[in-house]
Amino acid sequence: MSGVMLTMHRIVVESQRRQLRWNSTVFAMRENIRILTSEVTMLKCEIQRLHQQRTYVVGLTTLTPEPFKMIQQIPVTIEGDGEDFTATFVEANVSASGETEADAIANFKESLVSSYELLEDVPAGQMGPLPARQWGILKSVVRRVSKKAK
Amino acid sequence: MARIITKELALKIRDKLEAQNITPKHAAHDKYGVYHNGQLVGTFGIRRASEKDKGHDHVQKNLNIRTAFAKQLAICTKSREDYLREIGQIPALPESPTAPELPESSEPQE
Repeated sequence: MSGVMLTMHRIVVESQRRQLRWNSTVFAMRENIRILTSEVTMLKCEIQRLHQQRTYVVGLTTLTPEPFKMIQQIPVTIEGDGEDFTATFVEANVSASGETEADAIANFKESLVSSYELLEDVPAGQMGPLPARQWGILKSVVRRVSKKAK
Repeated sequence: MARIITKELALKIRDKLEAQNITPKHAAHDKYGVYHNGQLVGTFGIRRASEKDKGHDHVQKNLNIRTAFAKQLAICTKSREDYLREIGQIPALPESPTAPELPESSEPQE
């Protein structure tokens, strides 16, 4: 009788041990799934961000409606993520931002023209290396079509 | 762009660089110039808008500096002198100050 009781007790203890091991395994798996889910969510966000980020180059051929004319087409790099865009003429360090690509390009044209207007009034001796380089490039790509208003 | 430089930071950069308003007549946005020894050494534009978080990621491109440098200029770790050094207007600081060479010690001859 006592032998049967002892066997029953061993079976119960073994079953409890198995249950404990199973519980700890399930707990560890749950934790791993939680970590993996969080990493997948982060990766999805990163992929979405990279997908939205766009960089491309457009050729600018006109400064309309500004009273200036392009002598030659210039490459304008557009960078943006869907919320903010910058348009840059890298060679001359002329750049502008905008909420849309069109907005960035419009602001860029304005910035190009105002840089030209600004630098044409600065005597050569008062221009540092960066503005002097800018002016050299700007006057080779842009020309004033109407007389300067005094 | 990730909107790293906002209008608020661009205005801080303007103040830090002691930039002067040199906006041409009829320009839609403000233009600022950085002067050093009577020379114009850099220009950048600030958009006319009331929103402080308006994107100004073009500022670092106008000023010919890295994005991180522009941010440091705005948030105080970099100064006007650091900017002038960065664009080569004032000489760079030596990497590590070297002690002046001492003359070789000569044993007193008897």
